[in-house]
Amino acid sequence: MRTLGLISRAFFVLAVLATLNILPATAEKWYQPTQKQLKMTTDPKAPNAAAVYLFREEEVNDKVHMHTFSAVIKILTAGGKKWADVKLPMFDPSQFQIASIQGRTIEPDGRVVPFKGKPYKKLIFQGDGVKVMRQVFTLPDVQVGSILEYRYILDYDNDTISAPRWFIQQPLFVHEAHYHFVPSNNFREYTSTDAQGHQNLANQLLYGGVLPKGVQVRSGLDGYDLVVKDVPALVEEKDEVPMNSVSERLLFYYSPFTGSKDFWNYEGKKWSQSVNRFAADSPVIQAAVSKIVSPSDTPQQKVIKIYEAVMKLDNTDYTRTHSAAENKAEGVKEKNAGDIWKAKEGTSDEITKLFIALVRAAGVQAYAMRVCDRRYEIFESSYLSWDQLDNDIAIVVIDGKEVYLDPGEQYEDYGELAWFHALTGGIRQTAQGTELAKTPGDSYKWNTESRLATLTLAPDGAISGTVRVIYTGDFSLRLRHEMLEDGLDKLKQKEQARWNNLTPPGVRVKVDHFLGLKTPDANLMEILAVSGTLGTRASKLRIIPGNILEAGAKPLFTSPTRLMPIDLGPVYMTQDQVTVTLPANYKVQGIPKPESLQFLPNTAYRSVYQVTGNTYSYQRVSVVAVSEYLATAYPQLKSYFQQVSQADQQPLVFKVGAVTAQAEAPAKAASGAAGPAGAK
Amino acid sequence: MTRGWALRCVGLVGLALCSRATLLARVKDAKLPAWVLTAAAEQTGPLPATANAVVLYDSQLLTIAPDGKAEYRERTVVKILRPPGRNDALPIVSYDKDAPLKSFEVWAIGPDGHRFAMQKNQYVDLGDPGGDGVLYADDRYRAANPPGADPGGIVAWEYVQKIPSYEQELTWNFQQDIPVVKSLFRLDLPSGWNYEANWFRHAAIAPMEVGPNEFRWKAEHVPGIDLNRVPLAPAWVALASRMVVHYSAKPIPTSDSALWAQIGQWYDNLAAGQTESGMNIKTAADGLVSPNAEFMTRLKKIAAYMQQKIRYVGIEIGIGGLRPHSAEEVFTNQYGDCKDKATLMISMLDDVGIRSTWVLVDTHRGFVAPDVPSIDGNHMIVAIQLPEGYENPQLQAVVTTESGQRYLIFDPTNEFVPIGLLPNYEQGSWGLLVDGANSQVIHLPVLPPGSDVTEWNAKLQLAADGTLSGTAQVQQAGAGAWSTRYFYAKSTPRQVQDHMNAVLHEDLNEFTLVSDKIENVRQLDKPISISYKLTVPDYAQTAGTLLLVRPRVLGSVEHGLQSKTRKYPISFPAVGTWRDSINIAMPPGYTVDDLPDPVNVDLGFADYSSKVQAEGGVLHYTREYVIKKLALPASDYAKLRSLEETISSDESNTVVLKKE
Repeated sequence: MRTLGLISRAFFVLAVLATLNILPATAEKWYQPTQKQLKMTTDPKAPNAAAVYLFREEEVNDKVHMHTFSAVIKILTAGGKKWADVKLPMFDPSQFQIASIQGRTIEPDGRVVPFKGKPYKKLIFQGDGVKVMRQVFTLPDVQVGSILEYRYILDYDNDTISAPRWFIQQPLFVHEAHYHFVPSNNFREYTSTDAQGHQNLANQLLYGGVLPKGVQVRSGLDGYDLVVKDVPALVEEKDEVPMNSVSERLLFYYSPFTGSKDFWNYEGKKWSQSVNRFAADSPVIQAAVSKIVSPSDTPQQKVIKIYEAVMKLDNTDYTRTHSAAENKAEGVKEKNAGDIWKAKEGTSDEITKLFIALVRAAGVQAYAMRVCDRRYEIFESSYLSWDQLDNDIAIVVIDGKEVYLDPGEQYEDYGELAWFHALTGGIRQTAQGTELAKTPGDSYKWNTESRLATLTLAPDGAISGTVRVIYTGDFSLRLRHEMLEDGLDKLKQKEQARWNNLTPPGVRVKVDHFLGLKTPDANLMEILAVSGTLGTRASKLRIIPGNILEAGAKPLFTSPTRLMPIDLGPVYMTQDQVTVTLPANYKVQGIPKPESLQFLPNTAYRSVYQVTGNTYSYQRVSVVAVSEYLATAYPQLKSYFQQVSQADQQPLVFKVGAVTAQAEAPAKAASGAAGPAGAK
Repeated sequence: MTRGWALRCVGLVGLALCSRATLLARVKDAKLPAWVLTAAAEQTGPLPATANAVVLYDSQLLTIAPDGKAEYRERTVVKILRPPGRNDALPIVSYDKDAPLKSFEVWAIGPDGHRFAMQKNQYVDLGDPGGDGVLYADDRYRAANPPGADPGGIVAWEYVQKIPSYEQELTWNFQQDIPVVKSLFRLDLPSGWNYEANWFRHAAIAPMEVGPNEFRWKAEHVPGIDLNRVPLAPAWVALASRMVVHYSAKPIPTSDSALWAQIGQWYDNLAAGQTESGMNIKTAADGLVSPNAEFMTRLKKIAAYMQQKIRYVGIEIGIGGLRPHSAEEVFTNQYGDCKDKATLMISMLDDVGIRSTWVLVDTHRGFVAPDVPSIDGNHMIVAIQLPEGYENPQLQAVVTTESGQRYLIFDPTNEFVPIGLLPNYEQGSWGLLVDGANSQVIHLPVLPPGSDVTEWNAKLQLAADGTLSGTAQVQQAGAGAWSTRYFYAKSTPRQVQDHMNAVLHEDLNEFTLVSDKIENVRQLDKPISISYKLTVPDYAQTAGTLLLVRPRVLGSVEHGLQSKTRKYPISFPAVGTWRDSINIAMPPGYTVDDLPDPVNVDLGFADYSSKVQAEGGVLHYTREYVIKKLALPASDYAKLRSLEETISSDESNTVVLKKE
């Protein structure tokens, strides 16, 4: 049986192809640049560009098993010269080959320097029956102003067909691109392999994607055509949504399915069956659940107990995945939920499915949902690829209400989802079968950082004391996962660096210890020892930052402009309650103004300051309850965070009087402080 | 086997793991080699509490056959102590077509005692990832994801590799980034062959002759070097102890200088033919400048051509890692790597009547040492003969050889360091000047701090509501400006805007950048200049009737030293001078209530001074920071940290203004 390259082996190749900057060329003739293109030094359509595509072309002819690509690139700055180093897409040499690489450099004066060099075949990976290669070459005599042109053919064997994936938006601005696809006549003779490993005969040619406004695919007897002009470049920006999911593209599929609904119904059914097989009831599961829960427990109590039990297992996604043979050698089977329970270890997905098995065995309704990880992808149902789904989560029904849980994320609190599994799409089991669904959003109340500081300032500016920080939700998850992955020492180093960046210059923060770091579903506390010098001294005055725990923080955004949507990640709330014992000879001259800022409902900041006797104290609350914003909201968002930063840097000014014996006492206490209470 | 191995494999390990998470290990309780079991039973002795893993045993054997063919075998046994130690127990070795692998085997003992032997089909091969301008290198890596690699587990591997016939030395890296319990190096030479061993940062260890012309060195309980989060750390390779052994059928010079000369002669023979230029190069050189032009004119023209026209692209195959492409090929393609650029430059200089040669260096200052002759290095630059008696103040990076010949040292790979100066990452290093039998190790000059100057100048007006407005300018001159020039030359307008805003946000919270101007990015004989016209609302903060102003408006010279103690030496990126001259006109009706005290610190290796004066309604802040030495011993850390505290405090100091 012949294979359908697209969804089987060729899928990998084309997925790679599509993400790179190659492309098509049918033309036998070379591109003829205009005088204007030869002479241009900047591009008014792409004023920020280091280089632009003047032209790109891809022709896919599946009747003759060949893709041809060409690209014409104008170099506008010295930084753009890197585009002369051409890295062609990775390919499997057993099925594909790249041939007829041609190229040339056209100088601004029209002089042509042909590419006479050698393309190099580079091994990317080889092992386990898989080999991945890539060809690279570099064009000669490249200067600012040069036009680079190259083309090549991707050839594949007669037993493979390969529908194109045209990623229209590229890292460079595209002036014009032509795409043409001639499908195979006999694609119904080819099979593809689905996500669960089943082979199916292709039945339809489908296509879908995101096209520039006003652009349409033309289809006719000679195939499919697409012409696009003036396509903006993809840009990388801080805190952006996964652009690989939202860029403009057109994807073709030789598919066993009639459309998106058919695809997800079929794939969902197969997935659901595999989940249910894995999570099937068994004597091991029954025995386990009888030990974990009591018959008199309420459904919620049962679910919580099971959740806590599976959280204690070794989640090998955070330690090390054991190979099958290693498990065999150790007498471990990992074929179903019962095996995972016995082995006391499993991957995130396996632990989630074990959780579902145990909950079901306890008599509580439970479903699995397979979701996108929001950090890397946005779920798109018209994109017929199971690969866009990353992880399993669980949905349990308690007293008629669905509760979304994330038992596969080690240390995730009960009742919450890791932020990257919140507000994301996927497919879920239902009582009737499966359906596409979206997970609920997370709450800022889940993810909190509460800091309680008790500090003492000496007459000479020496600061000492302790900060206790309680983390919940994703804040605690981050710390616990870093501990699992990097170890305690590195975690302490990273935290120390973070705190030293947040606090004012001169102040030193040392992570003394953590409490509850390895205790699932318990609050995590970090205990910090503070030393060093706080504030500056003008001869009669001492000036200290009002918000000691944020004074060193930099504004969240610095770029003056924004092109792409923003995803701030987890929503959160930070709270500070800080008390500083002052020397007796300090007399307040100025105190920060209380500040109250609001950007959107529930995204707000408030700080209040007080000096009572020789005690300075302040409270600060910052809440970010919405994480995703359009680029148009950027100026307001940037301004809000700048105002927060400005408020955090207000000074507290003291007039320094003569030092008395009484005033010296805190200084001695400060310099003699051995460390935080309870430190070991 | 080579130091590049350990550094480059880091990036590959992740790929290996990601790609092959399901590698299968073999059967239960496989038979393990005796040396693995012996090493596994080894007592580690006391280890630092922070050690994630320990090398129990590392044994290297270099065998030379009578016909000169060489083979290398290495055996390694690592014990994982804590979860992050898994990364230290990943078997990975490099090879290429000239140095193929003959075998590669991996074993493991899980924490529960299970023994594993991996099979050939469980290993993966990875290509060189390239990067840093290297488009293609034929280096490959074989790697494995071993079973049982958990804390308490042990991973062992052995590989055998052919050594290319053109290699005549090998390095024994017995110090690693984790502790080593026992490391052995054995050299098995044919009868009549000779060897010479040199030691880097370690006293010589006497070998045992364990067979006829077979020698064994042993190092035990070698501490690891962990530079993770150590600010101002020297390069790791400049700290780790190693032995370089040269071997030959012919007598090997015992003096360092003679051995350096021999290595240089060897390289000269390898590369000399590559500088031969045909008519194309000669015509191009003549087109740039007449051979009769003044020396400096010829030099500048050729240097500028090399820097600006020849694109950096690395293509390295086999001995191509050492031997440059021919000058003709580089000229035709108009691209090449460092040794290619050096070779074409030598050729073009020759065409205009200037003699020059290669200098083999390493960009990790301190790696090349005069008492450790070796071909090992990662970069190539050029030494240009100066005519007798020729003086030109622009030519500062000058060395004088043992024979009294003066050479200007120049790096044509760096587009942004003008002829006459030397990139700061090369200053203070050692390098091999290639000159046939007169080849010698030379000390690359450290240019005076006055040649590398960064200056902030600002003329600003403060309003009564705290708004600061006016112009600020930063100028950078000297070799150290190269990275700034590089950024502004290679970046898009948007990247430049983002960078400028990020730089200003380091010191200012909210501001409006009214305009900016960047000058002299490629005019290497002039300071690069970046000017800002800006308005900063709420710059001065109010406290009652007072107005608080930080006179150091922009630019910091702090290094961010947090740790109280220091184990390793200190290495500054460069010597240089940093100056500020900031004028802030006070709001009408305000006078100075309080000024910070002036600061004057002279520590020998660095000076720091600053003062604020008020005159005619203007605050004038000046400061100067001079770093005079590139490196300091760890014992000077307390002084440096004290200086840092002084600088930190000074940078935050505030002038208090009051309304009259």
